[in-house]
Amino acid sequence: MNQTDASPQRIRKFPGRSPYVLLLLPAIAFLALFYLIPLSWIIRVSFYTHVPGAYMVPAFTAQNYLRLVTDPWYIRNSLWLTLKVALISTLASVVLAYPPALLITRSTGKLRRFLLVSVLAPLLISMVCLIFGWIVMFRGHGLMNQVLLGLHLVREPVQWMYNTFGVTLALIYISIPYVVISLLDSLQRVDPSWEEAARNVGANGWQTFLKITLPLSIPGAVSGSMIALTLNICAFAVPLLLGGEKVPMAGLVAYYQALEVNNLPFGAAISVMLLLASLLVIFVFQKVLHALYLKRMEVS
Amino acid sequence: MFVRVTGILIVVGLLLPIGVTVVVAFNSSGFLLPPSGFTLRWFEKAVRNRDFVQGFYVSLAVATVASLIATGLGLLSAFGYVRYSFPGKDWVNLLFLSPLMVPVVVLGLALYSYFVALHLNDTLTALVIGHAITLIPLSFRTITASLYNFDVSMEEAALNVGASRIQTFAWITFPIIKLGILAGFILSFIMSWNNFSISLFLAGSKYVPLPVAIYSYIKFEFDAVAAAVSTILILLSGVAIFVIDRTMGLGAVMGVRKG
Repeated sequence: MNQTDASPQRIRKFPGRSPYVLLLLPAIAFLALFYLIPLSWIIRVSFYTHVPGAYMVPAFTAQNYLRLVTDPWYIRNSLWLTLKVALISTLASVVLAYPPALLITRSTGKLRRFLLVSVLAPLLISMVCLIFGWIVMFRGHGLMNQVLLGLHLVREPVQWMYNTFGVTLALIYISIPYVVISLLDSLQRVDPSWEEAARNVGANGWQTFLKITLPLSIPGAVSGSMIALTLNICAFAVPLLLGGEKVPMAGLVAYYQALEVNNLPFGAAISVMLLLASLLVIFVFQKVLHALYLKRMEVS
Repeated sequence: MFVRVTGILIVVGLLLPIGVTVVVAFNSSGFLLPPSGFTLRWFEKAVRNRDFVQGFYVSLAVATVASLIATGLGLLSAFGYVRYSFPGKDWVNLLFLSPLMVPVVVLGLALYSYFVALHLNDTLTALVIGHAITLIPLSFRTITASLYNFDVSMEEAALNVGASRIQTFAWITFPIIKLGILAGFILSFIMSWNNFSISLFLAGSKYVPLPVAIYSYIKFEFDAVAAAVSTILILLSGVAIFVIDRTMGLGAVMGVRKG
């Protein structure tokens, strides 16, 4: 997004009236009609009431929201579960994104390109295919258990799927490429001569990483966590494909309520809460990033 | 050393589910690994399945039309955005990129309830529009990037020697940014081709894109036929990854700065 600040000489005005309106209008109209209005509509629907058999009835009530925050089942099994799974998978994906990001930063030429494409490839492959491959590997008698049993590391097949553990693992898998992109952004700004200087005064690899590389990569880790956390809080496809009703994360409950139970107002209320939660995450993390950059400017 | 070993292990881990799917699709004993022999049996079964064949055409049609819409709108608005200064520019940028930030489950639910209200649910139109909304940020971003890497003085020269604005675009601007447009189009196409979440909300029973067809299939039957269909999806993704990487660089398109 650094490109939005165009240098003044790049912006030039064609003679005549303002054609930018004509250029922008089609896209803005399209987005208004099929994006802004639907989003506003879902917020409105979240205040409707649900009458079994009658789809939904226009109203202005907060009962859908109250149900979400007062019903102990939703608090414990859905909201708390969502928060827990999202936080754990975000943290783990940031940690696991460091080695490939460092590896890519330190390599050059064809190898770098190959590694980069390998890490980014899952982003361009359908979620269904990724999770299908995941199921093939982690099924009861799948590859993973065959290997573990063969090596006598476990006595019985491990239950990798259809539980919170499995969903968390898959969310980590899905998040890693996004975090790697953010980390690369920061790591590539680290001047290699600083790491070299640390080595020259006798620091080993770990010390160099902890004292030089890690602190300098914090902005990337923060923006990566922001992306992963918003994705994971609102996760719906992964728990749907891997956990089913056993892992009722909030996004999945919204889907079930709206499309299976036909309680659209309640589903709408859950998704509005998710929208607010991800906006909150973005807001807080942006503040943190801003503070980090200010601090860095003071130091340098 | 530690970084190298764990880094390579994690990269391999990221690719493993993809590799395993492709191996299973061609393996004569299906899920039984190690592979025992090469077969196209699973693909034969897949192309005899009506849901998969229809899903293939639905996905193809939706991806083509949605990415054409997104590329067209992205091209126009990227021009307006990059070449002119106007009040509220930051807001326009935020509007164009925000569909990426809104959680898919929220967008899916919003579009679903909107199309139900408009009596457009379970139509190709709904799928195309829903996909196009998620693609606009991608094409806008890619085309904006290629316009920023462009020397405006070349356009000015053409205008100065008397070329019209349309001629300038056709002879100067387009040839230079066409790779960016192409990369944006292919990225949009493949994102629509792969889309599962929005499709699941908008697909009824008449028009079911391939990823949703796979989901419906593996809910009841888990065999190597699904691996074969997944492989067809992955194959097209592979082609897209290759082309994007050759034209603009996959890293650049996905927002990784040059190291």
